[in-house]
Amino acid sequence: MSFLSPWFLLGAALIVGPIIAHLIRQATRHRVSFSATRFLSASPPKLDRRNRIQHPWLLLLRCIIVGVLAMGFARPYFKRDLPVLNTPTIPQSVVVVLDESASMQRTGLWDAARKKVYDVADSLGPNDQFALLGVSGGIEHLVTYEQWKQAAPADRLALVRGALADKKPGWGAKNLDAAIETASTEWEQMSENANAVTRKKIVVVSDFTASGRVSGLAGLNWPKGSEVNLETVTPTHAGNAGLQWLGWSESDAGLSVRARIVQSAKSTATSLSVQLKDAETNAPIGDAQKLTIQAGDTQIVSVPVPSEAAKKPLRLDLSGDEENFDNTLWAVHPAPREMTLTYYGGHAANDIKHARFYLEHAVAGWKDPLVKVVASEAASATSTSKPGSEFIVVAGPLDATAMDNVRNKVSAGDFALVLLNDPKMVDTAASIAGETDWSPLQPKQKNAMLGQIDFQHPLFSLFSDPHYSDFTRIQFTQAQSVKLPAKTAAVVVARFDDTSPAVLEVPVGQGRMIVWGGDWSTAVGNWVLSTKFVPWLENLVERAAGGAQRPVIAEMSDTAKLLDGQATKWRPISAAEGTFTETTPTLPGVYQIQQGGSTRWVALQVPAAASNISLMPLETWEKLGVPLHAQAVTSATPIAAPLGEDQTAPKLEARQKLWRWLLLGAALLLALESIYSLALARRTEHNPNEVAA
Amino acid sequence: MVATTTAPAQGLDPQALFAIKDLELRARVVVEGLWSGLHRSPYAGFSVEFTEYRQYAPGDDLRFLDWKLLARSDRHYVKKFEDETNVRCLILVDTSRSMLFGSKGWTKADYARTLAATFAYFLGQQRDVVGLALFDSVVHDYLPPRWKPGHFRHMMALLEREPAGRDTKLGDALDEVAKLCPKRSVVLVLSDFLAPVAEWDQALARLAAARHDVRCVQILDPAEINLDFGQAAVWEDMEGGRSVYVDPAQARAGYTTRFNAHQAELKAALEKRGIIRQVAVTDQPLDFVLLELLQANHARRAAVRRRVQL
Repeated sequence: MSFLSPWFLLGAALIVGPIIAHLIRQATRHRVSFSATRFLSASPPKLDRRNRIQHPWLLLLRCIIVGVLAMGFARPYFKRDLPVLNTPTIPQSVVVVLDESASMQRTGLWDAARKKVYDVADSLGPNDQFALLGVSGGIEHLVTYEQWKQAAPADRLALVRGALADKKPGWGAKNLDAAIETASTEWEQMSENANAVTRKKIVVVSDFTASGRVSGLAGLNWPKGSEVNLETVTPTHAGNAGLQWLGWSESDAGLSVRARIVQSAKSTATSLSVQLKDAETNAPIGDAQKLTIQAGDTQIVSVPVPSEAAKKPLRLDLSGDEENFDNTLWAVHPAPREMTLTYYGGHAANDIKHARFYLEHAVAGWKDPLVKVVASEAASATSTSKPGSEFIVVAGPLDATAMDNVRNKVSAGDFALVLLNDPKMVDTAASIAGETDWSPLQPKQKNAMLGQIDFQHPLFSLFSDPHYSDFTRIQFTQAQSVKLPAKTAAVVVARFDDTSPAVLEVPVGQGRMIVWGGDWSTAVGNWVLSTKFVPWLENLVERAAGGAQRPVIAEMSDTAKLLDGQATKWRPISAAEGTFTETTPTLPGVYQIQQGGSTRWVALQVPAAASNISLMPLETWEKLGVPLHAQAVTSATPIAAPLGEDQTAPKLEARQKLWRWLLLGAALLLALESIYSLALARRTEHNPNEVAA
Repeated sequence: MVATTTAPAQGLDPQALFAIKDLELRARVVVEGLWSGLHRSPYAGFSVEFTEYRQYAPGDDLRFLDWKLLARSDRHYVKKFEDETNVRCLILVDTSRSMLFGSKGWTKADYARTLAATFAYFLGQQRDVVGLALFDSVVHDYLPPRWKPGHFRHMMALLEREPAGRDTKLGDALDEVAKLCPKRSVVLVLSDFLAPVAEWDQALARLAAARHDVRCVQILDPAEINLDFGQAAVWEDMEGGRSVYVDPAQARAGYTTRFNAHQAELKAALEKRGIIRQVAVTDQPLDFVLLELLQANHARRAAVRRRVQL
């Protein structure tokens, strides 16, 4: 038996109190009133009985009470818990979850983890069932229970060794909850194949860093008698410093890479340095930055990127710490999409009476897409761009050549915006759409407003929130509507307040044409001065450019957000040009991906959470209701031996709660003592001479 | 003069008597029992004083014929005594703290009050006038002897009042009584007389010298006589506040010696003054004590008669 608070045992010394009390003659405690004491003389105390203990049984009882109370307050516990179903006759169904996440790349962990798995497999009997799962982002069945069952008992260990012989830890996230949930489904399959009741056990072999995800275990139904053993593996080095990607920083001074350096609490290496390199050639770019970071601290670094290197794939290397697995960040700067806005109308750029002036000012500050407004005369000569890279604005009548040019580009996939600043422009729009029977229609009101707007449509979905959906302050003094034929591909997105069409969208080939019922000028309305004008236009142009720009940097476990659901081929930066494969990468780095006909660079990072190597508290598992085995608790908790002893003792003591029984026993003894002493007092009262004797 | 007790075989059990809470009822029980047992009482009357002569008539008791007068004048006269008249009696009851001691379930004060009530009732039945004085260090309650309706009830109310519990100063109290009651009376003192004799001897002598017929009843608890009581403990005096560790088994012999010496001194002091002393132990039936009082009166009357005849 051990004690959690052994210093309370000193309280047992209070036993001296009752002993002294029982040695003192109690007769002197009594007082007798008498009327004739003047005839009495004082009696000398009886020396021969002075040291005799009075009521030895009562004293014994009181001493036991003091001792039991002292023992209770010392909070005793037994070091070894009761064995749970540890009978060799019951076969076991053991599923081992092997952590293969990025943090297992640390020195010494992988070999220790494999040894634990071998030990578990070696300890099983011929009737036991076994399965091995690996978790690194996703779940991998390394050894299935069918393989185990089919192998001869003597060959089973070799089967497991073979599965792990060439295996290396991955770079994914530590999704332990998903792995354990999969393991519990493995149990069900095992029990379907088992002939008898089995003892269900999951052994999780991991470093149990705080980056592990276990929240999914909440509410999981655990089969009766199941248990989870947490087997901790300890790395060679206790410390680590990791790099975490924060993003690109663009300022007047230029482009720079921002990263966070996270130093673990037990790290001893405080002098670190970061160096920017070319990802392809590994050539250093600029000078290395020297840093001093104390254990447990974090620091943000900003490494400037020279303009000539901005378009290259880069890597940022950290050196000087104990572990290398999370010391490299891969970076690709997303290049802005360049787009040409071709203006058909022949108006000057500084003519405030026409739309070009407002278009030029609206697109001036955009980062992506990077729009350049050109007049139709200049554009037509250089119009060799790929579909989606040109946005056409038609604000004047088109001749036949221009009409063909516009129609071809829109049919190929470009977007066109036609402004009906004149009734004749209705025919132009109808020609681009390839339809007939479009006729001009004049709205009834002089100052028309947008009365009905389809906020579900992509053109206006930006303003669907009620905070932004008020268009009543926008008026059009010279609105121009269209009377559409019964059969048309045009979709009316917005109508004037007399229900005549105001904004149309017409699919033309691969592209689309948007028809606006009026001109864009302060002379014909206040639309171009509205706060909604620039966002609406940007939304439209971004849509024309192919939508929002996709990210180019992602963590290993989150590659899906790079791909946008399209079929993708990968090429590592170190591979030869054009050698694309369909295999999803398993290593962090810079890759060139091919989607459709286009290629772009992307970077895959080590999960930022992997750098957090602080230990996951054991209480996390208990709060989730995981049926931890007591011995598993003992072995799983510590990453440092002395710390583990301190942590397991309270757990065992809290589980056994022996102090409750001791306090209950003390209370019962106290009641017995009260009854006994009361009986003695009454007997003394009735027969005082007995006490004196 | 000391009246020795010759207790009859049976009497009223004090425990049963003290179970009656009402003091007047207790007195009635004792006196009625006594009357029913006496039949033709030889102890009729308490008065002992000669009052007048009357002419002999046939049937008169020849014991009361005045023979000396017959010899001198040849006339037959019988003497008439005060037992046929009313007598004044003042009962003094000690209510000091020492009277609150009791080892039998009732205290000496209970016993004294009951005895006083009994005696008062008894005398009331004979139409004698009775007064009451309660004292500790002073006479704190005084009811002069008189005969009037409600007087007895008034006495009962005084007796039932719980004593304040002060120390005994018997000498001062007797001197105060002598001032309060100058008229010649029978003074019956009910106390434990445990105070040193020297403290009250002179006062008692002054009271007796004032021609009061003083009679003392010493109320004692059995434990005070033989110390068959208590345990080895710190014994505290009920009046003096003195505390002393006493083992009764060890202290009994010395106590008995000293107590008996005190009793002897008390006896000598009272006999020297010609005062009747009677010891009443609280486990003694009350009717016996009353009977002994009457016997002592009878003995004294006989003595007086002898003196008259001489």
